[in-house]
Amino acid sequence: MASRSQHLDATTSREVVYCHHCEHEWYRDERPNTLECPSCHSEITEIVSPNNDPRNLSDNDSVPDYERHRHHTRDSDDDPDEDDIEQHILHGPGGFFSRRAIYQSPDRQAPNGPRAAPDNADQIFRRFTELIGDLGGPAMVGRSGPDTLFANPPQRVTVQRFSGPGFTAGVSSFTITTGPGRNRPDPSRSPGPGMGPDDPFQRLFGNFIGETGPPLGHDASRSSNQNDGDGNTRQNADFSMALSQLIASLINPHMAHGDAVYSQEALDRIITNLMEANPQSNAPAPASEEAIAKLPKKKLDEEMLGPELKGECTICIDDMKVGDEVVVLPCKHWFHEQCVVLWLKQHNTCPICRAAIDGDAAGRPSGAAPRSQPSSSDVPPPLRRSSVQNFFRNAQAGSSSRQEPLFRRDSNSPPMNSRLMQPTRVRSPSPSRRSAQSDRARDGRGSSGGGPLHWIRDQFRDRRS
Amino acid sequence: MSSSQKRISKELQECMTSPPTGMTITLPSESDLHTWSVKLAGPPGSPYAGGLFTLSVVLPPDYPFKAPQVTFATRIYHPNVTNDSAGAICLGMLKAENWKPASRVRAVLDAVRQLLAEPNPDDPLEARIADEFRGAPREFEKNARSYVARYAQGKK
Repeated sequence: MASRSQHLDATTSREVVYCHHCEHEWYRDERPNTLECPSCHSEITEIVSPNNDPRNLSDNDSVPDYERHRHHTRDSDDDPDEDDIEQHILHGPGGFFSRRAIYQSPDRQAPNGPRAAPDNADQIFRRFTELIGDLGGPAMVGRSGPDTLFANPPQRVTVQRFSGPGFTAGVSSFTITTGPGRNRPDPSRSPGPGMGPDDPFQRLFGNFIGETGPPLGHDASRSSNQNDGDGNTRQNADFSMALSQLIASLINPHMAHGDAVYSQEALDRIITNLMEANPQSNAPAPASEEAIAKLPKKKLDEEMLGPELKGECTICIDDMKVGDEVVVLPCKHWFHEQCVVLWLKQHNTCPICRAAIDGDAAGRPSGAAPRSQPSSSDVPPPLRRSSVQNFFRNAQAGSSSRQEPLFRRDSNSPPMNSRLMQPTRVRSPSPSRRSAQSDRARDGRGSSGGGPLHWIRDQFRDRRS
Repeated sequence: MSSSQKRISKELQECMTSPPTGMTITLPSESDLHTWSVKLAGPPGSPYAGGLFTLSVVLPPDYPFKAPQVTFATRIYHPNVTNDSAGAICLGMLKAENWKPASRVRAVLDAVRQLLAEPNPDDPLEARIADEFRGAPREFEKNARSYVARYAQGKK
């Protein structure tokens, strides 16, 4: 077989004969009378010409790549048909296999020819480590798109695929795409004026990959360094923050990140927790000590007890009789002092009719007779019910019913007292009013709805218009 | 005995001697006045008629200054009761901002029974059931009855 490694030169004037049977070759002028193989006496022989050489001069090509490189690591050459794509196939010990393709912009030749190939496993892993370093460093991950493949100046995109024997039968492989990170401008530091319309993505992913945590501080500092007249920059900062929050929301199963939430469910959960931790948060505020101290104390008389001369403190439901000392609220309802003070320290309303005990509306309805509960029509709406309380009240309703709009405003709901006067009825806003509230809530959040996705979409629309 | 327990025992005594319509009230644990167990018969004429529902009433330590917690221990198909094992009830008078000490457990239980006779789809806990109640009352009644047959036969 030694002869195979040293082929005879067929390009000279001497003709070379090749035996297809035993692959022997010889100069024809050595045996001018016959074409029979001197070695095996086969007649299947051929005169070799430079244009038609049956001999397998590069006989390695007939061996499969995998077999050829099985026992020695070596970087293969690139694809001759695609001169802007270099392909390197790499075999390591243990079946490790790597295919690397480098895409070059078409108008630029490879500066140094094929890349130098690592020739041992250490080199492979060193290169692998460099790749990981590229991913985590300030450089950015290559992204298929016009600015990575064909922008000026031309860029290199490396697609590297690693394969190896899996833990079970089969092959495990992964692909790493690296981009021309160092060549590209680092938009997180220098947002140039000429950046394309998709630079929010670049900044976002730069932040996302290159920094930990939301880009808030970094954006804020940059905004302060720059002229604040650049509204576009600020918008981009907001945009990238929203996108990074979106991604964080995808990563975080609870849809919450620090103080921010990304879904109605998460907001529901937080509000529910707040409600449970402080169930009185949406109830009327406590009465002040002075207001409590100012409440008149009286001995029960016949007029207060009515014709039957019987009554009870509705808080402790103890019977009371003439001569017992009571505290009389501005609404004329009376109670044991110790009983009503316990309540007033929590809420500044009458335990029966919920009229306020201080403030402008204190004691109304003024004309209401003692012991007779005022009709719902002349009870004022409770004081101190701010829109925040409305919000929480509605949020509480929404938290247990997820289909309800969370931000339903309820400002024109009937006064609470009218419902309280009917203790056997739950509150029941009419359907028409309710749907009107829902519509209003939706309008308030913009025509395209709420949530980060809608917000992002709006941002893009703004940028394009 | 605190004033809270005094009031609770008074209310309990009253509820046991003359129970609210269609209800039986027991104490699961004689030593715990704050936890009541109520058997509520479905109101006649409603899809819940024939069912026997168990309610759990938990009176907070500072009752009557805080509202009692009333839940269905029996599964029930109702717009204002969560369709799960928690059985939370949406009852306006029990909400913290609506509660007043003059309200009594008896009134609360009457309100729950009234809610079975007359669901309130405008303030639902189960929006889907509320929509069905409004839009497809026959379907709603059928589903409610099937829940009664499955869960509310008094075997709880």
